[in-house]
Amino acid sequence: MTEPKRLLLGILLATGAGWSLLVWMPLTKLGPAGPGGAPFGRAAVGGRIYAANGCASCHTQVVRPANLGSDIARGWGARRTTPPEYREEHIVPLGVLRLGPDLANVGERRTDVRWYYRLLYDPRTIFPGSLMPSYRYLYARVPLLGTPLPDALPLAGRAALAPGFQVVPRPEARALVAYLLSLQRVPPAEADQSQ
Amino acid sequence: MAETSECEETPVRAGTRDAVSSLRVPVLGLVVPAAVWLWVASILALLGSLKLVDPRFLGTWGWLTFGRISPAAFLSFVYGFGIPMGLCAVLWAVTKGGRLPLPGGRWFLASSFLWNLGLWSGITGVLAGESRSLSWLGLPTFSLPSLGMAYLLSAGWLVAVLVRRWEESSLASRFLLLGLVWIPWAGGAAALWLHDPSVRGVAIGSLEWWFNDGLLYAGLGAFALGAMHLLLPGFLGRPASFAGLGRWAFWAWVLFANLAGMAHLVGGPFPLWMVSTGVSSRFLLWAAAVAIGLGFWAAARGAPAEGKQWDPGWHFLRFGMGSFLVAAGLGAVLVLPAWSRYVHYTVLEEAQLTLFLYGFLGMTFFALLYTILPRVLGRSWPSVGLAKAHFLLSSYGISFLAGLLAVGGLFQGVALDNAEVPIHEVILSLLPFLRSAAAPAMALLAAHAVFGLHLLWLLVESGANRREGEKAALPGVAMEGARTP
Repeated sequence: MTEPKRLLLGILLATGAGWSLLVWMPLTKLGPAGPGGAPFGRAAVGGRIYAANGCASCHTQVVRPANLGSDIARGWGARRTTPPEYREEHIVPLGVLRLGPDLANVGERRTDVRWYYRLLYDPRTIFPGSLMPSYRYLYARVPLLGTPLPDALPLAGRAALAPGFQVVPRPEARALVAYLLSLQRVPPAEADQSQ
Repeated sequence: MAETSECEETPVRAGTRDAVSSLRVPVLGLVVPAAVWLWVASILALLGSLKLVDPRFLGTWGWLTFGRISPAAFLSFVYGFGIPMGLCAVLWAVTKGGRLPLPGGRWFLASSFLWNLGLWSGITGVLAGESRSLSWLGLPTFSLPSLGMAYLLSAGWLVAVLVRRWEESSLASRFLLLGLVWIPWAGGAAALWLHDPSVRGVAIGSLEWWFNDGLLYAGLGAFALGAMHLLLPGFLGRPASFAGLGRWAFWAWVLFANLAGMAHLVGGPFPLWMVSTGVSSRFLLWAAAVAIGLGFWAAARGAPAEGKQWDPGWHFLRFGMGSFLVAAGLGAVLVLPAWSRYVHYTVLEEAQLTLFLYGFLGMTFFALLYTILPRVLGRSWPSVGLAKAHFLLSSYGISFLAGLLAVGGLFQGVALDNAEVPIHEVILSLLPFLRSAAAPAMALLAAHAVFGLHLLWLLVESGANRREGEKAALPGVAMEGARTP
């Protein structure tokens, strides 16, 4: 066998070894899909919006064990996250940076839908000086006809609108909030039972 | 192989006009769009940096939100600049530095057109919100067929020519072959796998990180190491020292680049053996990097002192190798559990990536361009001053950017580890570092602007040269694996 052929074979085998160990084997260990199947509905759409807007650039969805960080002490989860908690998902944004809190369990910590709407519209009204960008493009400015709509944001000060208008979340914002509320990977009750 | 023996027996003629002219169109077909992508990447990265100074900056447009422009910036750099530059290095290698003609040059134009078409649609898709948030695999599905076809068109042809003109002792050819074949094998497999509905859960996470580190080390890293070995004899008059150690390092690189990605998943929902494999592989990659670095510095130390002429290529190459060694060392140390506890998910990891991408890959590819373009175009770079400005702006920009992110990341990591400090305050303490980083980001953009202007000047002058019918051949450059006359 000539040297280039030996090299090509070696590269193929090394790539195949990495592939088998780190990609194929984890998938076989996961087993067949569960009866519930993949997430669907508004939360699943919200997952795609989460991915499309690059939320994983600043937020992780991984609770590390107590010996590898303060995640549990911060209340981001009652225990470390394990593979079954991601089992049926096709978007698995584990994340690369923490320029904000971990979101693996955020649906357990924050349950007020309106809080999320306010945060996404203008994060600085909740966390002054925050780095989080505003997602105003996920909202619509609509005329105020009589009583404000139930989801209309209570805007005051610099963010206040001209009289006769209100700001309401678009379907994308509703889906994103539904997804965030669905993130309850390590509920405390389950963690208590497992101990 | 036949041509190999011919090359060993009979020194080939330097810079024959036919051979050089067969290289001109394919090289320019790669370099010109790559320079545009470098600009796009720099502008997007600067916008991202400015958004960290004031998050409300351009905040009303969804397509310019931080979470979209940040991946768009590095995808533009990796796929728009990095891979075409790797192919450029292979073109230079298979033509033995412009001494042998390149058959099938038109394929490269078709390939370049398809590649850039796919990439424009892909980056536009990322900005429009079509990404699946898979970092290095983040280009939307609709851009992949065009990119795949483009790569196969040029890489398939280049592998065939590289093998036909194989040089037995060449480390450059080995690394370039690794980069050429790893990208379509792994990229194709990853793209197909991601579109299989049965692939789900943490398997997607391990696939993502296997590919990310593989592309960084076995794809782009191999191209840059190949380019370094290719250029070294031209600068020093000798190849890298310790050839045996270099061959060992090559095989270590091939194997461990495929296993290193799991190091990113320390503390994640993965079995311990997978994470341990990743951490060990990062250390063994570092060992391979040190072996390669030893060969480089030993050759450089024994070389004659630099002449009067300031050589931009050599300065870029030396900076690139320094960054390579530091980035490989950081890549190993930061994933140790004792360190990972503090620095994982902090901007210190971004500092390491910046050093590898911009410090090593970027600077090595600039060394390649400063060396080959005068030979391909038959005209020296018009201004030493602009080349110096490019080098100084790049080297200071990269050093300060990586330094600020590294120190900021240390502060961030220590504060994150203290559960008493609210996450909001952790980020506020990081802000001075992130905001200061906008200045070196601007220096990098200025460096790339200077390079773009210099390239444009060179192209205009070389066009005028050709019209005047001036002879194009410059003296041949020594390169590894090809005898110089």
